[in-house]
Amino acid sequence: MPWLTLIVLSPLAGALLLAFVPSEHKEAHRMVGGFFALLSLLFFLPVAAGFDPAQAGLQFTSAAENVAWIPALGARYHLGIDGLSLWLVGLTTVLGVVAAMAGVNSIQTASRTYYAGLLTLLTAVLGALCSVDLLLFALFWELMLLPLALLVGTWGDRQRVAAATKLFVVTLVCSMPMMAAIFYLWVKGGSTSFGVADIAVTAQGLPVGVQQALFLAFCLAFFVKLPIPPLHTWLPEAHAQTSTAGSFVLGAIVFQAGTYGLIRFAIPLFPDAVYWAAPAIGILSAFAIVYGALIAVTQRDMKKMIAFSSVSHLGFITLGLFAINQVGMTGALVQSLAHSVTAGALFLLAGVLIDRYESRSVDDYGGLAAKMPVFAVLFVFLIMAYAGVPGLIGFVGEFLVLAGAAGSWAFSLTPGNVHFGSLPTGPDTAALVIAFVAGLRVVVGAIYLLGLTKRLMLGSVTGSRFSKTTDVTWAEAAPLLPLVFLSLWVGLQPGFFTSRMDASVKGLLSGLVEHSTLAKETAANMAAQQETVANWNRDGRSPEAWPLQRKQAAANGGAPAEGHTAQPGAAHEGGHP
Amino acid sequence: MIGFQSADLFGLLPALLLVLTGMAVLLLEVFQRASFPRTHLAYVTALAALLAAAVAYLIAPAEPQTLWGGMVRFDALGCVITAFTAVACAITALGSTRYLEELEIDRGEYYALLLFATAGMSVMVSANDFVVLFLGLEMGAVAMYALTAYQRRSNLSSEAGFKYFLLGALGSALLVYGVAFLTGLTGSTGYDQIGAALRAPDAARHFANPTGVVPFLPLPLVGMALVFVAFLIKMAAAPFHMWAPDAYSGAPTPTTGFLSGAGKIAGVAALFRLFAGPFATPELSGGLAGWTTLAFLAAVASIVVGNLVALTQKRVRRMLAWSSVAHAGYLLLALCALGVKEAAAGSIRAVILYGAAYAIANAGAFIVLAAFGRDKAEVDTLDELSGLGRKHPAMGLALSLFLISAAGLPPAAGFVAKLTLFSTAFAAGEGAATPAYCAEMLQWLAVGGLVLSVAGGLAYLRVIAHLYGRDAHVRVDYRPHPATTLGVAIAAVLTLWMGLMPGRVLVWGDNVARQLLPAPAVAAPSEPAAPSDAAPSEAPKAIEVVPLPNAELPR
Repeated sequence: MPWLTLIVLSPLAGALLLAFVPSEHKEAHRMVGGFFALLSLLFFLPVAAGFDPAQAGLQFTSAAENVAWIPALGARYHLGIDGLSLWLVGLTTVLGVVAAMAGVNSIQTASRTYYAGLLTLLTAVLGALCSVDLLLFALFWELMLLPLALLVGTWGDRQRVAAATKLFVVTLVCSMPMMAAIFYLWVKGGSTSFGVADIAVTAQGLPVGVQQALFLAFCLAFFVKLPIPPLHTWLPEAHAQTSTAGSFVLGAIVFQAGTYGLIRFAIPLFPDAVYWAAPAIGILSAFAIVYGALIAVTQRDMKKMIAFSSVSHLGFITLGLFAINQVGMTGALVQSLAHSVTAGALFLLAGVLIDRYESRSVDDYGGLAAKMPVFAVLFVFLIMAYAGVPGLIGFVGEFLVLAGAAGSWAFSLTPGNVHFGSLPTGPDTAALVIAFVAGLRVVVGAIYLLGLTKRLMLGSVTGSRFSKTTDVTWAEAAPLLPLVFLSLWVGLQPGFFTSRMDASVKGLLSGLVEHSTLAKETAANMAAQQETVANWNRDGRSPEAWPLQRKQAAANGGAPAEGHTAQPGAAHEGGHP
Repeated sequence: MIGFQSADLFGLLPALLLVLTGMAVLLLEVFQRASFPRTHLAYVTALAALLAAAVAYLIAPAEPQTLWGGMVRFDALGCVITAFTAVACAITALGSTRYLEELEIDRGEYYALLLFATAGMSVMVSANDFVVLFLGLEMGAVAMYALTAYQRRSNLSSEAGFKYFLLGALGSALLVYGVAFLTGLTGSTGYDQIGAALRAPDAARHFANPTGVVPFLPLPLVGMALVFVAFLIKMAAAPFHMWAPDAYSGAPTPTTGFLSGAGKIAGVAALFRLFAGPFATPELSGGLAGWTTLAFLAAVASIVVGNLVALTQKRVRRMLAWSSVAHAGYLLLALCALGVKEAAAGSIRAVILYGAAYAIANAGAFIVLAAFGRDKAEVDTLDELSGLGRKHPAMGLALSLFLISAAGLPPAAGFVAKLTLFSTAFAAGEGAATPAYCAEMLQWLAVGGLVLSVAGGLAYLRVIAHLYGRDAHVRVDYRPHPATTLGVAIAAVLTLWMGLMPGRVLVWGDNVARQLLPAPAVAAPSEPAAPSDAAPSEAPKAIEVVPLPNAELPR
């Protein structure tokens, strides 16, 4: 069965069907929207069940999913899924259903536009997440723009159109260099194929300077989607101006395509450029993490606070990806899931309050725990998940990313000649500093997240507007329940998710090392250093054991070197009597 | 020599069909009462145009043929362009019904003129002789002048028609002037004869500088440049675009889409035939005054001016008019790539897809605009379009699709079209392309064009933002009609089809390129046994099959 095609296209089928439903039948729109989003999720289940965790390559590419699409250009309709994209796709299908449920409460006018836009957007995002052909990816990538601008700009506050326009223009303009880079690579490869594998061969045959420029062009498109400062300026405005459902779509669904683009295209295509840029991106990510968190502390507007907090949270994704090791990349993928679930949930929770009291300012609230106990429980639980309390989803991602970053050698400022701090095999100093700075978020995050909780939930009930407060309704709570469930599941059983990523991440990493001269050099360097340490430990730190000295000795006479090569077995036995 | 055979008529079947239907429509009009709506004439017109398109597609020959004693070439280029202009004509006719009724100009001549214009374009594209070219050009142009000034009671429309007529007449005059040079030098008006004379061993005498005065333009270059400028005027490419914004905003709305879309691709196709045929000599294509350089300069000017001025426009139709200047620039970019030997085939393929995508989407966009109105006036400002997308989802969506296509974004046709066009221009610079300087300029132009197309794209997207983002605060009437819906549907389906499955159109483009480019035949003669297996099958079917002696003129 072409499961991936079904996953990708079933929302679009719903969107087309909606065109035939008259605009006044709000219930029908919701039913159609929910049903087709759910259909996509159902089609994902056999994929999740049949996924082979041991396989690093693409899976579920049926015969109908790798066919010539535009033969004259060499473009193919090629879909595939692997450990890198499996959970991104899965989560997107779940979030589609959640967004459909959120629309019931949040969208009261023009519901057909909302559901048609949402379903089209789902197809675009899912298509981008499954595409292995660059032209197909570009198609889905640009297809995201219009429905997203529609979802953000149609409902919300007065400045919503300006915000949507800004979002649209910024993301469109920033994606143009990537388009140009794709065409450039295609032309360089003889205008015959857009397949990732073929493009990768072309890309890695180019001069290093060109590779770096192309890599930056790809990064620009993906960083603006995530977004990473200084490309984040459209985000807080868009979140503040749009409706709850629009915020949810924007904050939980769309950025995943950015994660995917980085890990599927930008990183594997240009290995040398990745190692070249990793320290700078590491520093930028650490900056983003702290900067976003600090700005969030100063915000009085709930949605802007969550938006800036997202900037901070999303920095972890690039930090983990560009640590270029197993732990960091796995962490980045988990963080992508975690951010979707928790930030999406926070936008929904904020929406519950904003829809009732029509104020985004935290100063207008207080003492809600007493008035809305169920809401308070949900709120505190999800805030904890967002802040990264162990046992919940947020912890897994942040912990893995920080661990990966601290142990990464890619952040070294002197690549190719890694100085491992004071200890020969210890972490790199630059990586440690970056990880430490990023780790500060745990503290700053606690300040504003707990501050927000205190401000909203505790204290005295101020003003008369809270006199007729009711607790959350089922319609408001329903979209939150899957998110609560996922927070717990991923938090308690992260191995279930990461084990399915491992093989693909490992494959990606070995490909990177294989194709990067810098990485090879560094790996050889590290191997030599590790040998040094091994010899050191064995031979009581005698300088003759160090590789360099051995080389010199071999040049002088050769006796000690030969002695050493014969020695290991004996020394080993001698060392452990 | 002049006696014609049935094959001669067969080759012009689509044009004949269009002209005969046009005459039939005129006759039907005579027997109508004035108050009777002309909807059925729209259907007849559309049916005939679609039929002509189908016929053009079906009779397209596998190998190019010359008919009418060498005056008409019957090949894939003519057939494909005829097919797409005819489809654009059908869409325009379908979208005109209610519009004409509202403005009380609902007369059968309108549809007849549309058909005549299409037939003229078809003849122009098929021409293999400057006389036939002029005939086709004028047949199309005169019909278009009349269509532009069709709203007799509107000053704007009259002004538009007059301006268009004046500049169009100037263009025709320049064309004839240029042809006079060429014919004077070579003794013939036929493409093949002129080409043969310019390539003959003694052709150097045409380019010699007898007096030795330094700023010297050889006469063949002067003739070529005049012909080129005439087409630039017709295509509204910068710097000869001044008439376009006024003409486009004054003409009846549905006509504008046809005029700016179909008119442009017919013009550029005729240019392709000229530049791949008689003008494909190194003396004419290369050098500072060669057509590659001229096309390059015109392309730069058009892309820059068109895109940037489009951004500043407040009125939708003027915005579309200005950005149509930019689209002319993109088509010229492909023409420029034709001058680079390695990119020639790609440029033809690109121009077919781009032209088709643009002509269809443009016709569609204008008939959607024509479906809205205020009292007796058209909808034009962005304010008037505000909120229409939400009030009329189907029409709004279709207009958005056409604008997205023009902006070059997926999933519409414009995306793949722009991709092929820019990558062709870029590919020209790869490897050992000839001439090298030209390939390099093309690469820069491709990059710059891509950047500017984003600017142009924003102008379109602003319209979409108004369609959905703003609330309607001006009362605008929607004038629904089944014919309009049908026309919009045809345009939308074609635009999506070419966007998602452009393979078929690209194959047509490859066919056109194979038939148009004489490359394998011209390269072959020194080596009788061609190196590859493919070449022998193509060598005998070379285009050089018309070795008419110069003296034996068709007149």
